[in-house]
Amino acid sequence: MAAELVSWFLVLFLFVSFAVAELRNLYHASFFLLIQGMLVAFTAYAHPEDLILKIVVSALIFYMLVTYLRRLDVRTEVETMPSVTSVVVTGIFLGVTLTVLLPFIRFEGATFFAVFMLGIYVALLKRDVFKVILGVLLSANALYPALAFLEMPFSMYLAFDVTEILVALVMLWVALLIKERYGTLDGWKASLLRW
Amino acid sequence: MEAAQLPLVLILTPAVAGCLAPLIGRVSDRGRDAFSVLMETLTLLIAAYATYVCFAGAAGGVWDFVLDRLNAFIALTVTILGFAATLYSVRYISEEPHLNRYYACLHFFVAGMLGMVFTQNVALMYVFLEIMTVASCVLVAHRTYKEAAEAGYKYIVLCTIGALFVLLGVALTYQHFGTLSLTAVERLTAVDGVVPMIIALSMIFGFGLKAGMVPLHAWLPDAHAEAPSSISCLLSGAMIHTAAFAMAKVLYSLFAMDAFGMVGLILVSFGVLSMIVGTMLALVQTDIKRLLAYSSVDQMGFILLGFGLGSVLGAIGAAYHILSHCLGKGLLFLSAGAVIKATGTRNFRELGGLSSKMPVTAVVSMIAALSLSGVPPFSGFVSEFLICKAAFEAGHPILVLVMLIVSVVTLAYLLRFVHATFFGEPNGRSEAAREAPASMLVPMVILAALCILFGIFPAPVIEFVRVACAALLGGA
Repeated sequence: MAAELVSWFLVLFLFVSFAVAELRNLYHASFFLLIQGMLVAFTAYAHPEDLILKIVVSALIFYMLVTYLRRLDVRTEVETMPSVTSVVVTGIFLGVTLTVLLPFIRFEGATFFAVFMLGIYVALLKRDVFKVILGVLLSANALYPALAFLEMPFSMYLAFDVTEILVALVMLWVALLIKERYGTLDGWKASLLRW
Repeated sequence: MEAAQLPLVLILTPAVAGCLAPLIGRVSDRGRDAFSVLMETLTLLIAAYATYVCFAGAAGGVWDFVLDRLNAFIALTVTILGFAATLYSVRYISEEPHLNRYYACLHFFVAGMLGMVFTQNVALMYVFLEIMTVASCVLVAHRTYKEAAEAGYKYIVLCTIGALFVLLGVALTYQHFGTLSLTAVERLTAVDGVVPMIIALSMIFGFGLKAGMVPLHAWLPDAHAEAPSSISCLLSGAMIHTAAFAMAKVLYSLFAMDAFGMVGLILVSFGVLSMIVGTMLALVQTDIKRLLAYSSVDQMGFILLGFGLGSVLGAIGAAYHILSHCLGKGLLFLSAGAVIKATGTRNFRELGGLSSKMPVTAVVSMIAALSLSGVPPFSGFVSEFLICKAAFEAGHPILVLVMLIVSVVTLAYLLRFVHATFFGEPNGRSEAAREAPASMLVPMVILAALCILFGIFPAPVIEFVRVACAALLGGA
């Protein structure tokens, strides 16, 4: 029964991660990031204080994202690539990880690593600055289950979470600057610097 | 004060300054500037005291913050530049807006770097890496014009991705070694299995990105060029070194010398690539700050190569090169800032004949250029000689040849910049230029004097770091 629950959770986790990567509506994508954070919190953390902390942090980041979306006055992602690319990227990393690392890590680990790489793909290859930020946060969330196993003191989790909030805040500040100075959130158009 | 407490005091001093500086700035701008200089001076003095304490044989630590000779040495280089950049900022950036934010982030940036240097806990290293990234990103984008915003965006995205790879390495390290503390870890004597190699690659990718290692250097020229020069000085002279040092510390602590071979080979390969690509790209630049940024990429190659050789001499050479590059490149960025402020251009082809208008800046720039190119009797010569000797002793004469060629090309492009800027016929921009004020010149002169001092008297420093390097490499 427990194994079946884990399988359903992993399917849900993958689905939610794809939604963050591929939904063109940025409000919806942010909402699915919140869901992903909640899923991580409920499955990965054994201690109530760590769980509550992760939920609060996920909610706070969602609030920040939505606030900035309103301030930036944008709703949909600027040009996007076909959704199939992120499926292919995740599939490749899941396959490679399972083939190479299965003796060392379990299937859950491979899934989280594949979602981590999906986030890196979104951060590096998407044109929309806001989507890039979502990609970075997606990767960070995918690493949290691995961190939860470390059973570190609460203060360490607190340090990780505060760091994540600070990074999100500064990334959003820079996104705001890009929108103000270039008039667009298209990272390819906001590009004056050359070799 | 006990030696064990010094690392925490050193990290907390700039952190407290970062909290208080904006509050003081609300009352008085001059008060905030004076307070900032005072606190960075205090940090420098504490770092000097920590180095002295280590020299006397004391060591120790609390909460995974450890004071040893190598940590104290690198912390001293960071605080020297922290002090120089703060003093330089007082006049350099005095007419710009948002200075409360600027000074707060400057202090937190220094605190983050010191945290990275002293902590022996890989999880805390990630936290300090991110603190450093956040504070420095705000400083890179401080001027908020188009290019600064773009540079800040590239910087935060790429460096956060790098930090996430470090975090991946942290999780795998705990899974494989059962501890996060580098002092408690039992070194691997052989790389058996995929996981240790993934840990090594994650750490090399994560810290290497922050260190500006080719091919992960895309953020570096933009961030260095668009940041205020006082910040470029810290980015290039201190931040990339703390990342390289953290990488070396983690890899040396996880892998015993028997297992280090493959990891070392990767470091050496990236080092050589950084040297060659950095030098070639620096050669074609006409923007002063971009030229210096690419020069940092090529100098980082020397440091990676030194650490990658896996010998005590190589590690000593790399540590010494951190010192000489910190002094030389920090100095060049500060003098570039003075030139840009005086003339209003970053293109050195539009300049000429500035030596008569800015004689002190011209002399210190020449000293820094010669030091970075490895010309005796400056500090750069000592460090490059040590790395060359280590490569030769390790049986890699081809690496020595590459380093010599890179040094000659470095001399060529740096002299080209110095000649085009300070000598030749003066033009319209040069006519109106004035020498920088004393508060900008003092840190430059101090750094130039240190370039000469550590070039003429290298023995005490080499002896100081030798024991620590041997301990870091497991008594090799």
